[in-house]
Amino acid sequence: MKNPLAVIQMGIDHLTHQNEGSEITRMTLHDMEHAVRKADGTIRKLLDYSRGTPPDMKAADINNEIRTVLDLISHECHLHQILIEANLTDELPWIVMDTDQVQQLFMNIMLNAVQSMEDEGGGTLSVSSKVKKLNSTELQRDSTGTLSSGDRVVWVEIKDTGHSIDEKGLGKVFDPFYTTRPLGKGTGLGLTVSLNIIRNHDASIDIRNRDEGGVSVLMMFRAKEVTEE
Amino acid sequence: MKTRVLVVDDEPALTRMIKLNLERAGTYEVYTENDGVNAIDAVRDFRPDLILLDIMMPDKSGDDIAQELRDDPRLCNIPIVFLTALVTPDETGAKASKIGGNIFLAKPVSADELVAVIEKTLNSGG
Repeated sequence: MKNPLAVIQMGIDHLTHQNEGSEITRMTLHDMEHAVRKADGTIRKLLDYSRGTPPDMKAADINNEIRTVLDLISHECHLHQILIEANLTDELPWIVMDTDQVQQLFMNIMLNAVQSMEDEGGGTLSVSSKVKKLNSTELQRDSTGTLSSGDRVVWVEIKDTGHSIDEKGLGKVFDPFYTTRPLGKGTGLGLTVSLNIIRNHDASIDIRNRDEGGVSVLMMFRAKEVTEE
Repeated sequence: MKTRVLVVDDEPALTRMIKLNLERAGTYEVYTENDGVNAIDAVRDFRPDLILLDIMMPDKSGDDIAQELRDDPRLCNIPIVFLTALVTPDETGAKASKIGGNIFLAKPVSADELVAVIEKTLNSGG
């Protein structure tokens, strides 16, 4: 796929210089170039997903990854009238994780939330982290089926006030190429990649609609006693 | 005097497009080769100032061609820019360090990026 894209890109460059005087042609070529970049981005995501790169695991504070991603999306939130509410508990137990992958996981989920609220003209992105001993109600949100009541987890919840997902869609959100975005807007791979990352970390992810509107994504990471290296 | 660039890639449409774009600039003379097996002969015949070399080719890989060039005292100083469909910086970085090559360019690349990399490579002395 990369070779055909390379041919198209070079062809666009050539034609762009051949047609400097024609506005319509220039716009068409610009659109084509944009499409090449988009296709290239999709291929990269697909390769990331299919490659299943082994994670580089080390003990770290998950709040650092949350803060990094919040920092990266803050401009986008500001631009779309989205308020960020972060409620991160200090001194969480450290998690053994691949920090790049966990950042990608949070980025995928927060961008979905931002896009959903963008459609609504703004909203609130709430991100919280805490350590919890699971009770039987909370256990219902364990997607792995391997956690037990009383287990200690690091609980990361990302909530938005955007639109809800219909029941049929909720069952498909992790499927490759499933997207609720308009045609050409989403790759439908973000949550598929996210689920892979969750599995790499033996963690749990649950996505559900909130009663008050919007979506809640809850991730639970097993809290083990690890010390800073 | 024009800069002589040899493009080795098994995709004829791509080598044609690269030739078109580089020659449009007016400062390059471009020769193309689509069969990796003939790449070394093409280097000897054309005597390029720089080689754009695809890595994944069916009969002979860019890695092997680069290694042969590095082992030949008469050809070892010709700078190589690798063109690759590999996608991550880690992958391309690892490959480069293995074969002592120069710069990697991930496909698809724009003509402007290509020219910038060629000039940078030539100006840095390979």
